[in-house]
Amino acid sequence: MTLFNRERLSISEYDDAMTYTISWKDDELTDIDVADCVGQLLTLLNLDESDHFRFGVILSELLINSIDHGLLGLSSSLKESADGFAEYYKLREEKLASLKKGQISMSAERYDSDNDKEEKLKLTLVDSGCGFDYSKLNNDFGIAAHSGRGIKLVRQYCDALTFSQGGRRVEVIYAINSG
Amino acid sequence: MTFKVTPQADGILRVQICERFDFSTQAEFRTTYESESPANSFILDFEKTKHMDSSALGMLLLLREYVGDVRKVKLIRCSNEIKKILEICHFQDIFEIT
Repeated sequence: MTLFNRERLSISEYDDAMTYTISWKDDELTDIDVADCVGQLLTLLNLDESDHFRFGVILSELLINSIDHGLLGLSSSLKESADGFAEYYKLREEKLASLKKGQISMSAERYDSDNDKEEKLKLTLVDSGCGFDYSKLNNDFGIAAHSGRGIKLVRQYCDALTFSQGGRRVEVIYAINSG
Repeated sequence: MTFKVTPQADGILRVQICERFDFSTQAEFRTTYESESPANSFILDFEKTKHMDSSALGMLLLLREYVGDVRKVKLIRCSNEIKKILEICHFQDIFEIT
């Protein structure tokens, strides 16, 4: 049952699970504000301080990945120097402003797990971008490496992280109040 | 100013880190430290910081490269969650964190 539907945000309830979905299409993406969207979703989820912080990190990192690598096709290898880092964000701004076609859907479902009686969040992000070869994700990199930290943080905070659809879909299971 | 710089003593600068230390502040963060000499030591004050992302971690590494000596960058007044992020990425091995 859909309870709420406003522009890009919809809220639905099914059995005891609440699902909050924000989606963007085509020119709606050109002015996407990651901090604002993540903040809105977190407000609706009404989590305590630690979960708010950690799930916020997961949401931001994965949404940014969908935009930057999925839709805009930016490569983190640019970030290897201070100039490359700045170049990356200049390119990001230009590519985002001129983006004509694309879709992202970000959905967070809050439910009670039957298995372990824990309350969980399932986050699903799907983008219409180029995908990536997730079998080549590097989890073992040096302290000073210039990429890979976002996924490392997400992995550390969640119970499960699964990529599918050629890297265009990512699903995260997060246990609420797990400390 | 997103990053307020206060000279502490000779060659020591205290930089107030903003509430959301993320990719959207990268240009301003770089301008802030590059307008100071790399001979300075930097004390980064995280008291107000409530969110940090992986780009901000990359920005800290670039500051470390700028000053050329890890002992010249200290991260202070970090919340437990900020400390946890830094630890996950093993930053305690390359920065002094309190």
